[in-house]
Amino acid sequence: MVIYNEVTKLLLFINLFFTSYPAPATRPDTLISCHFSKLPFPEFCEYIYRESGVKVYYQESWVKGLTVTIDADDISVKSAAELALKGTSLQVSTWNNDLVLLPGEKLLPELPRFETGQEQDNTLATGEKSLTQSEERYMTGRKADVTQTMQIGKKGLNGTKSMVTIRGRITEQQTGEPVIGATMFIEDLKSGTATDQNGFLSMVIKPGSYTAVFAYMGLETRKYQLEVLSDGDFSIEMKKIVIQMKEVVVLGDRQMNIRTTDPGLEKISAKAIKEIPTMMGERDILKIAELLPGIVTVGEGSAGLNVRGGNYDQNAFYINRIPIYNTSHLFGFFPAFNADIIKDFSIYKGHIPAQYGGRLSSVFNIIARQGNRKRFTAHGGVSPVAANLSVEGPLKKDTSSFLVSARHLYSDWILRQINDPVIRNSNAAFSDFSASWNYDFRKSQLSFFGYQSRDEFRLSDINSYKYTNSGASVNFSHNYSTSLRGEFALTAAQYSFSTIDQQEEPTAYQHSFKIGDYRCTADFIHDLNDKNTLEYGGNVTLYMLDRGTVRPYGGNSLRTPVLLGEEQGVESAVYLSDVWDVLPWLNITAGLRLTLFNPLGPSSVYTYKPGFPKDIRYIDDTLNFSKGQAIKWYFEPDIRAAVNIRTDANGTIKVAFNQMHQNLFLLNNTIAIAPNAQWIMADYYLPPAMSSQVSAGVFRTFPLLGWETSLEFYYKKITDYPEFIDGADFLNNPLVETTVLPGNQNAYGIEFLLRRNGRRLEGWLAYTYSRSIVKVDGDLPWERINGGLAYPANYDIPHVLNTVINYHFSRRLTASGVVTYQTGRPVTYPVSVYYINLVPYVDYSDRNEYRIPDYFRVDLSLTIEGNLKRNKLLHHSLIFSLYNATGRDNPYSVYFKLENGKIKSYQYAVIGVPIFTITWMFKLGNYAAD
Amino acid sequence: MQQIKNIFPILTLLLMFACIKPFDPRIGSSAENMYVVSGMITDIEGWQEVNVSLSSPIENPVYSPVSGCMVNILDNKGNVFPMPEDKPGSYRAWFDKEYLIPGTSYKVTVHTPEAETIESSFDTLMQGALLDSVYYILEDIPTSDPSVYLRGLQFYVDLNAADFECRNYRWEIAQTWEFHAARPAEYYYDGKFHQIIPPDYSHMVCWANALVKNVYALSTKTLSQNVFEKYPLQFVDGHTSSRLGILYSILISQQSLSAGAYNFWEQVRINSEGFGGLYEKQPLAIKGNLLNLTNPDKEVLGIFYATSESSKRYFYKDIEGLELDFSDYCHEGPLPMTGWAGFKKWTYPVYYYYTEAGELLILDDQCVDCRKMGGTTTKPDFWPQ
Repeated sequence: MVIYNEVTKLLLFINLFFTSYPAPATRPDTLISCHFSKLPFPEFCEYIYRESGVKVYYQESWVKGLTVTIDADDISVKSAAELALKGTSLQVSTWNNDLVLLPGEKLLPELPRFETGQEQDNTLATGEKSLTQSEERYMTGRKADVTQTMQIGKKGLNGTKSMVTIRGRITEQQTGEPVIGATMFIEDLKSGTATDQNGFLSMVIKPGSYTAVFAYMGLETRKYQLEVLSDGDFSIEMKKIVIQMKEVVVLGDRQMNIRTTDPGLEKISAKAIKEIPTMMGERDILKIAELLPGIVTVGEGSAGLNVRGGNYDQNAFYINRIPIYNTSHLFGFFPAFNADIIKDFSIYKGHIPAQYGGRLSSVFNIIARQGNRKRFTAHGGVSPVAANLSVEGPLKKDTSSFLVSARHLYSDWILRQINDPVIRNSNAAFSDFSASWNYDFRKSQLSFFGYQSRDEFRLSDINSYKYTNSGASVNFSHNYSTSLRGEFALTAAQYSFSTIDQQEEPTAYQHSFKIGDYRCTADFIHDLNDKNTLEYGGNVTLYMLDRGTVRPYGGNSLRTPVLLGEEQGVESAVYLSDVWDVLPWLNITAGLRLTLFNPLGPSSVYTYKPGFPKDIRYIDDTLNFSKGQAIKWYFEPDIRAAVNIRTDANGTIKVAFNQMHQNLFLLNNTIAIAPNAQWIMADYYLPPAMSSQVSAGVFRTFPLLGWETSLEFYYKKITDYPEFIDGADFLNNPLVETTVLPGNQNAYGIEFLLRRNGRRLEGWLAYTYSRSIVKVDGDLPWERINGGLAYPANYDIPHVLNTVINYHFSRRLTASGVVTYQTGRPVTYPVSVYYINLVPYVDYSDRNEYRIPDYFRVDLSLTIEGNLKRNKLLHHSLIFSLYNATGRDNPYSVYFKLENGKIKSYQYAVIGVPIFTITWMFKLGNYAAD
Repeated sequence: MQQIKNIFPILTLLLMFACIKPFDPRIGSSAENMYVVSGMITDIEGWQEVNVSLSSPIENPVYSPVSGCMVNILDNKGNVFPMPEDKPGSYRAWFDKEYLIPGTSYKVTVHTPEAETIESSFDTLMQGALLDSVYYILEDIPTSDPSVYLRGLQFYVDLNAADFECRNYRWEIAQTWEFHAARPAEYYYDGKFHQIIPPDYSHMVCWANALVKNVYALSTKTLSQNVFEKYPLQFVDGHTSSRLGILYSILISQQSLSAGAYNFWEQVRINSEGFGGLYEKQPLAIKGNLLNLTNPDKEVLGIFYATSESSKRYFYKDIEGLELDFSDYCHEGPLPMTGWAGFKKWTYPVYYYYTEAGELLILDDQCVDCRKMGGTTTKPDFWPQ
């Protein structure tokens, strides 16, 4: 027997260069008979050599004290050796008709590859490999270039099943956090799957040997040889890529094909969020969402987003399951979410999975990071108006972690510089805070997330305003088996605001509003067989709205208090959805969601004389509902279906049909969301709104060039969406039914996206053509708006063109630019003048008959990273940001004033000058640290 | 009171970056001219007037009265009052006190020369409170230059209607003021030089009238009492106009409004205040109470309403603490290079005068003729001596 050491192991590898032929009839296959009991290992090897001539190479220290017990008549030499080594970490490899033992590794029967990364036809060749590799190794240490083998399950556990389910968990190596949306692609089967919000994926597969590729943007792609023996779990760690621009990550091909049956799903990476310039240097994911196709906003200062022709209250926002009712700070200029804590951000607008409901147009789902499970670290940043800090770390390495973050705006020093004396005496502040804690058990995960954001604004002594979003969620998920996973959550959220208006002493008032949203949900993912994955579950939500009382404020106010009332309701839903791989190129998702909405008492509802408008003058009778009594039963079935057709390796066609219902509405009759807009529920008079949307899209990637493109078309019909009567007064009138009319809306559009990722020059270009037309036409004349004729919605913006370009000069320097153009929003102009008592007054056109001038803006930013030293305590970066570089004063509104008897028209631009800001950000560790 | 905009004045926070600038909308509308009927019945014995006109496109606002209509006012007691045309578009009749009793409802019918009939709904004359007190407070309003404040008189009115049922009121303010031209007419040139001896002061003293264009309307229905203090009216300063120079008078009339009439005026107020700002709403489609019976689809603008009016006249002069630095719009300059021959015939007469130092300065017409600044030399009968 020969003993080997490390040097000869290296020689072994070198030798393999020259032996590329597969070994012929291998002597290790020779059958021998073994009957040993506690035979020392060296003697066992001697026996093998005598019987078969097979040499066994190993290091003596590895087998110290090892004895062999085998009782078999005819067993191959290799199997005998494997049996003998069972329970140790030594692996048996065949080499040149002999056996080599190595701890934890196997020798490859063929040449290892030398490219960095995947070797598919989709691979892109990049130029500066050598320099890159050495730099990368410098940053992250050496890595082996070898495909590892992973054994899943145990032999013999299979029984007679022909298919087994494997479950994997993918985490990020540097932090231990689960990766959401990472894909596993089995080349031999040409199919794959992606990880869920906890990093788990599962697949039903025949036992055997497969090559699996794991990919996620920003992480190094890993290739593994999977030996699937039975149902089993496995876990994979993926490393962050340091040199992002060199990495060949083609978002389009696998991730989109596998992961999304949704033609309208958008995903945004954390890096993109950091580099794209925004106003005041604040990283705002919602402002970036506006640059994607299908999503528009009516202008700066408008906190709301309009998705595919839907009003701003038709979008659901969730952060770790907590619903957020007001998603911005300071009237839409600053984001409500600290970008540092965001791990994954998805926008569903085409096919919305059956587990979501409650809003008509879209779901914005933000998953927060869980905190670094390997080491303590901190991130932070300072900009001229805000500071933020987040701290995270492990509580128990690899098992439990926490993440706490806080952010605060201090604008007082800027306000003092403003010429306007009212503003000089005003102040504005906001802050937000989040905390998350999670713990991994063997088969379960428990996490807790809390969030709060607060805004306060006082305009001199005229008005003051405060609002708060707060919420907490507890999430428990459990792997019942490799094919069934369940997730249970309890969520409590509250949105409240209070406002004081002191403009006129006799009418000064204060008003507070509050809405509570309490949910418990259960969701299951069940791999039925290799072609079907079922998702099913249910949830119950309790809404408690307190519209508050409008009370007099101050000693001289004579205002009569108005009680706007309380409302409560229960929304219960169950859903079932099947993702069916009909054929290798055809995937169908069929889902059904059944919701029941009950507005509950206690409540008093007026009835009105038939044939008369709903007005307090025509009240007929009162219906009384007791506490907990259901006022109405609204049954809301939704079909959620999507078809995914893979035309070839680089293209898919997706078709979806989506129905949604909405039970909560924002009472807001201004064009942008006013800060004191109240939420109301469907009730006795106000039915839930419903939308049906059909969408179809073609997606294609050009891997050699690094581009992906998509072209989507949608058509949406909305019914029973509340529209507000002219002059609706929500503060003095608690009876909502007297101020709204049910409206119908048609929206349609085409969205085009061209995107390039993972290169030195990356970014996207998005063009959307969309229309959104409203019609409120009742039978009786007072049930009509605009005379019953259709009119463009306030956010009907036909052409939108957004371009985002990032250019990475080097690791340390990135320049970024945004160019955005959109048609002006519709406006109602005065078209004629008439005189009463020789005083001129104006009369207006049909609603939204005209348009204000078009909107065009260019933003630029430059990100400079700190040095690339390996050992440093703090890494920082500077971001220079220029918002509205051309200084164009894009009109937000156009209005008219009578001055000296003449009509003078003015345009009001919210931002009329370029705004330059410098933001400083830091994190503990070096450039590559996370 | 919804005088205060329901829109949040947050736009002002962003004034640091925002800008408001004039804009040319280029509407080019083909909005057809609509009938405008406006009329008011007050409880004060005398002439009651109804006005019929047409609206005009916004690019060319002009008052277009409609002559030749047959106008009648009917009350709910069966009386019919024909209103003959007095001035073009203006139809009036004398109402005796016995027909103007609070509680009576009135409506107007108009037959246009185009054979269309327009009718209003009935509006009830509600007994309103008497005008309580009107006063001013000397205030400094800030301007965009932080070191500059504009000082002036902010007028207020108190409403005391505790003993009255009517909760909706409106104020109309007619201003009259005396102002003077800079100089009497003494020397002028019209091809030849003239000197008027003695200097002509006849066009130096003028009176101007102007209605305050803003709409002031108030409803106390959301208040616990039918009382309101310090309702802001107009702001008059000593810098932008000459109103406070010599003597300033306002005739303020307080009108009681029915709910329908108040809604109309409140909507007009909101629409005419202009919008802008971050949280603007759609302009209101104002519905008066007039209906075109012949063509119900054609909208009729304006309103006909009955009101109980209470007015007072106030005079103000020599305001203590108020500096008067308004421009008298008199531009004087030396003789231009082109000399006397350079003056065109249509500019004659060209006025001039000699300063104390003997320098000759050419005067603009408004320096010697106050009528050029919109005044009349006819003294109003209520003007004190």
